[in-house]
Amino acid sequence: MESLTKITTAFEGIANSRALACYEQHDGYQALRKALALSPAEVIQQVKDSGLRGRGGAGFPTGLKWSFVPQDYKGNKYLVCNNDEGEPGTFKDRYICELSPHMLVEGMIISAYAIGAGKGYIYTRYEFFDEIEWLQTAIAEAYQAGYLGKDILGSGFSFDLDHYAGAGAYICGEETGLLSSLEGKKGQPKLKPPFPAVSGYLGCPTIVNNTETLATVPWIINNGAAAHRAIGTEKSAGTKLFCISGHVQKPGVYELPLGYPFMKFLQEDAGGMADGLQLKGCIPGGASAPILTPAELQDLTLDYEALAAKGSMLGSGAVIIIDQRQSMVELLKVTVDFFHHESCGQCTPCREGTGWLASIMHNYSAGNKAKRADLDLMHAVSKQMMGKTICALSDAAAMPTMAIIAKYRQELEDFLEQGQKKQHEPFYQQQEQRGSA
Amino acid sequence: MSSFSPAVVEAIERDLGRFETRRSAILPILHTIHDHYGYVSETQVEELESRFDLPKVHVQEVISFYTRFQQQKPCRFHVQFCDNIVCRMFGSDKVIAKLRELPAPEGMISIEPVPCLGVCDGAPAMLVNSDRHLRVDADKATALLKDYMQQAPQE
Repeated sequence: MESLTKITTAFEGIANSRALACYEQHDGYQALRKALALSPAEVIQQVKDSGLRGRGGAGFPTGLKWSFVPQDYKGNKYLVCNNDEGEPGTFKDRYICELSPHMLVEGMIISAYAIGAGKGYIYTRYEFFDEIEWLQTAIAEAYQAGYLGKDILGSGFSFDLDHYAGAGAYICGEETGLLSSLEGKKGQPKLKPPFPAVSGYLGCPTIVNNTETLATVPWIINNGAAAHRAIGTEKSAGTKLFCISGHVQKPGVYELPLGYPFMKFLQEDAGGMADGLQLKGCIPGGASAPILTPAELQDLTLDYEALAAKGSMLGSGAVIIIDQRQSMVELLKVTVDFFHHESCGQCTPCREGTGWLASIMHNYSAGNKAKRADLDLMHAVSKQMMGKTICALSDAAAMPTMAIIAKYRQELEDFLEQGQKKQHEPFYQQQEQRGSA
Repeated sequence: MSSFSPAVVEAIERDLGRFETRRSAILPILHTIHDHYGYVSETQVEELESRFDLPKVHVQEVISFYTRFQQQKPCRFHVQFCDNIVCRMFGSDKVIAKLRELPAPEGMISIEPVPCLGVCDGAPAMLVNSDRHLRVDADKATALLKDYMQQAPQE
């Protein structure tokens, strides 16, 4: 296998990689020194030129997002790291916390310098107990070494960083929901515009970036925008962490250049399907991403454009492999249940829509008075949920639902017939027993 | 008589001064209370208002929205078993059903199926209080919980 550039997983296989001493030995915090010698506008320009796009799911150009922060704003500005990794199938940010929390901290200091933020928060889901401890240790170490606090490395730039733990709400992974949570409220998303870059945390300009995005920034400063652009495809530059799960030989996190062939990833890197199982489908970007069939996966490359062209999305890079034994009825039920559970309840189409999807699906999977038309009803409900709400959770529930119904309809219908047959089984068995007696 | 120990009071006061607004401290404070007592009692909510000036309506809003915060005394071991897409493919529902049949004294074990825990490479996964366990099939999960129960009286 050719050797691939490692950015966010550069510390893979290195002992004690979480310790500051180790990070510094491997050129840690050199990018910060370089960045502080540049003007904030120059740092933003480098990140713009690098082609870096948000790694949390939306893929929005990072440098462009930063440039939306009003430069003449006199009050406080904030930088928030979205480490609330909750998209089902995703476990890449956890890996960064495990490998090199200092890479994230350094990335945050550089990014804060670029946008002029004096305060930052890392918002992590509370279930990451160990990871939170590692992050807090890294923050404390960075303060001690003078990378955080007042007048960082004599540059005159000051930045404080704190950690904040979520409390079990998927919706807080949505950036405005996260900010509501950080304000000590229920994590309900806010209407955009105004975007957080203009009015975010406590009404102040705030940039919310994903962990992986921020952890990539030091590498860009160290190696230059052109080097980052040279990796990946023209529109999807750089590397991406892909978390592959399901019944494959080697589930885990893999850093790959964007544009990497999907089948190569599955067969070579992840070692192929486990136990000689057959590939039945793949959810390529977390639970919100529409499922792809084996035929669609053959020539797929892993980048924002290729996934969009197939009607799905790269999302968070969560590649969920589904083998032939799995039931699409079960998959659809779990999916709609999840979104119903996590809908914040603020917008009617989402609150009611996810509720209806879950309720129809429960009925369907129980085979109880269910009928084929239920699938059409679910499709119709899903359509009504698209583009009508404050945040994207409603769409995120509707899209995978419609995709499973469209692409695996035959199996869903067969289930109904078999399910009804099954209900008759005891009756036939009884007759046979009677006959033989 | 305070419903908080001096250590918790100290942590609450620290958190109240840690953020731009006192309201931002509500989640961290509730985490601290949970870490120490396992739940947030009615009395504690009252005291957060009377002593620390955190309006009950704000505290209750947070408690009711986030799944971690509970107002009932929890069982000694709270199992959060991931029952999402990937873990379900690895039979999480069957493991959960098995665990529910496990004989346990009153108040010892509670089982909660939860959305993705972010460790799908180790599916099926569960948290027992704050301990993470990976690749827990029915046998392994049962053995683990029995171990926890055996340790319980000594703590």
